[in-house]
Amino acid sequence: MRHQPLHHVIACEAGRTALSLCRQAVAMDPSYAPASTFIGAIRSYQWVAGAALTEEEIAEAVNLARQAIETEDNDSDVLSRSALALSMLAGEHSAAVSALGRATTLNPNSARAWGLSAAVNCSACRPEAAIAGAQRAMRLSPLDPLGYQFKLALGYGLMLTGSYVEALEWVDQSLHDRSTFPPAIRVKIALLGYLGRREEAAR
Amino acid sequence: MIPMLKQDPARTVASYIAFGTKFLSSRTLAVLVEGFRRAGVPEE
Repeated sequence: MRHQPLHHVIACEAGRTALSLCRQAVAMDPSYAPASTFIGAIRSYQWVAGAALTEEEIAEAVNLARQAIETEDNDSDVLSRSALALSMLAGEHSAAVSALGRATTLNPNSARAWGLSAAVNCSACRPEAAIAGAQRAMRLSPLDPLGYQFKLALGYGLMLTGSYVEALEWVDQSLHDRSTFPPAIRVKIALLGYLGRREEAAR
Repeated sequence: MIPMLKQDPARTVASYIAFGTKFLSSRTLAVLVEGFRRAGVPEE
């Protein structure tokens, strides 16, 4: 499982390394969902970062996620990563929200499951669930390496409710932790627009 | 052009709509796009 620390790194080289490690694990055991679902998670991070993925790459990741949800429905981590892929790569938000509901029920102490739930609920425009999920993830793991994603999801959810000032505070905290995180940059630009700070957006 | 978005799918409203339609709900996409427009992101 050497790929695990790498999966959230969006940089192309790290993503390729993580994918290679996952593929080696899947080649040894095609039914090993903890590795196969990392492929979907990595592709999801690459996609939302703006990487150009082929139809085949997206289809592979989505199919692996669907298979994993059917065969590994008692593994919170597998369900969470599969849900991320379904939401971010296929726009299947209902299925993703359902899988994340099961994931967080199976392991209510999983900060990552709550954090991914928050992200998916932002995409699905369910801001109350997104805010609650992000807050819970941060309570469970205040120093989590993925904390910048939890903070973005909180800010993103707040933006969807119209709480722009508070939203920007959280998005700025996310960018403080990870200044090149593309989704956070996008949400910040949109928030600056809502707050009438057009000049700041143009810098 | 917004400098922070020059390499991003959100460099224009049109390119972000093409990108975001694939994975964002229509309501979430609409909120982001409205913010981009107000921030001065070019349409095309």
